[in-house]
Amino acid sequence: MVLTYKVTSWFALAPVIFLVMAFSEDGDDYKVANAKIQSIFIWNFSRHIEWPDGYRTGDFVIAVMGNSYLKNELADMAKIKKVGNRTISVLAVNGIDDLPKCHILYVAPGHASMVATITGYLRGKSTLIVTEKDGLAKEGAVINFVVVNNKQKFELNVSNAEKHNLKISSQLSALAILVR
Amino acid sequence: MMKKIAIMLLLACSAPLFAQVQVVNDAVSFHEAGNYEKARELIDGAVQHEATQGSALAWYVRGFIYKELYKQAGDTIARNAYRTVSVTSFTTSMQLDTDSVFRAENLQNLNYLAATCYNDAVLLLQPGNTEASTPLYEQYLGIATAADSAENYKAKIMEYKLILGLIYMQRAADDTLHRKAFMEKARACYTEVLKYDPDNFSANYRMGILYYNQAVDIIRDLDYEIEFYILDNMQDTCIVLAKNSLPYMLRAYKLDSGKEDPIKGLMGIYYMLNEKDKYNEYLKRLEDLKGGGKD
Repeated sequence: MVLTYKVTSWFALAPVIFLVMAFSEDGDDYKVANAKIQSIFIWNFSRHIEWPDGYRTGDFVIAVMGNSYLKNELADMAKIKKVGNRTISVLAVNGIDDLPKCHILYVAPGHASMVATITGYLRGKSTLIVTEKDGLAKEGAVINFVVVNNKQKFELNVSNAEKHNLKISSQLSALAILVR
Repeated sequence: MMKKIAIMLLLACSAPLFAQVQVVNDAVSFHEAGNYEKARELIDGAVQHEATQGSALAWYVRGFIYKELYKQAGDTIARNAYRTVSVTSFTTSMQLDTDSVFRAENLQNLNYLAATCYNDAVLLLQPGNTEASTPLYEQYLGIATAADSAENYKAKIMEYKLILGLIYMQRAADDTLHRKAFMEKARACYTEVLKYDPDNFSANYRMGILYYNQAVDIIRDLDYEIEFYILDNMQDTCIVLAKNSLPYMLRAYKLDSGKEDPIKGLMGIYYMLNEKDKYNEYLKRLEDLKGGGKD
């Protein structure tokens, strides 16, 4: 007697796309993961940098230019974290026209061409400018995200920080790639 | 078939064995008449009797009778029990059959019973009942080994492990508490498939996904308060996982570059490795694939 094996074809047809376990709705979980790491860095920047008088009251404002994943991740962080006892406020901006007074401004690589304009606009203001493109730490950014051996690291230009009246802790300086 | 056996029995036996051989013959007759319970009673006695316990034929007859009982049984527990006895009987017959008189028939019946085990095991996987499925699958493997045809069953082993691996991955997605354990079980399944077929697309792709998802899980679970050096260590761990994922995903892509899934997988891995050039390269390939453009 011959009995054929039943091939459970519906299993074979099961979509594999679900296997990519997204914790974002559009499936770009790798971008969310990257944003999480950068958020942790930004959170630590807020803890290891001292802002001057005039920036020590009210909400702690983080502006994000050009990276919705980072903006969303920071917004999630803001729900559970405070800077001291201050609420974190996260907003997306498109340019200097809608840029409010803020403590940290992140500029995505796609907006790198605006850094010179932004730096000029923020002269004299105590905003930590964070960028993510090679060379920008020498162009006006205080902190510039870089990749070293596949890992997220950051460059720090202390001189630029001083221009914005920001005090960088020695602990943060020790972890940074210092740029002059 | 069984009538022929009955005649063989009568012709082959010697006088001192006649009585016991007649028992076997009677069992055959009851089987032919559809009285399986009586046939069972007789054959059980025969295989325990010293005159016929070493008879390959008696054990073959027993296997046949129990196979019929298995087919007739409505209760699952009884069916499994009858099937197990049938398998054991055919296997014993093969072991005693030094002249291979019944080899072909024994193998044919073992193949049949193996197929039933396998089909039942797979059917139980449909509601995700791995606990009930696994013993049947193990039984199927035992039969394959007894039939000395494990090589022939390789495709079935891979098919089962791919299904089981998928179920474990589904469970990992649903059960955050035991996620890691289920991912390890899934990994074990795909490792076995790749042992038999290193170029299996599904196993390669899913192994890639498993390592990648592990890295994503680590990052997702990071606390904002962690020290920088711990963040650094966690990044190292994720990089290792991403690099573990890469060869599997690359192979899956190589095996079928017309599928979107491995391309998306490679995009994710390279992004995680901060290799944006490679990410953009595969992003372009995905766009070309979707647009129907040339690669």
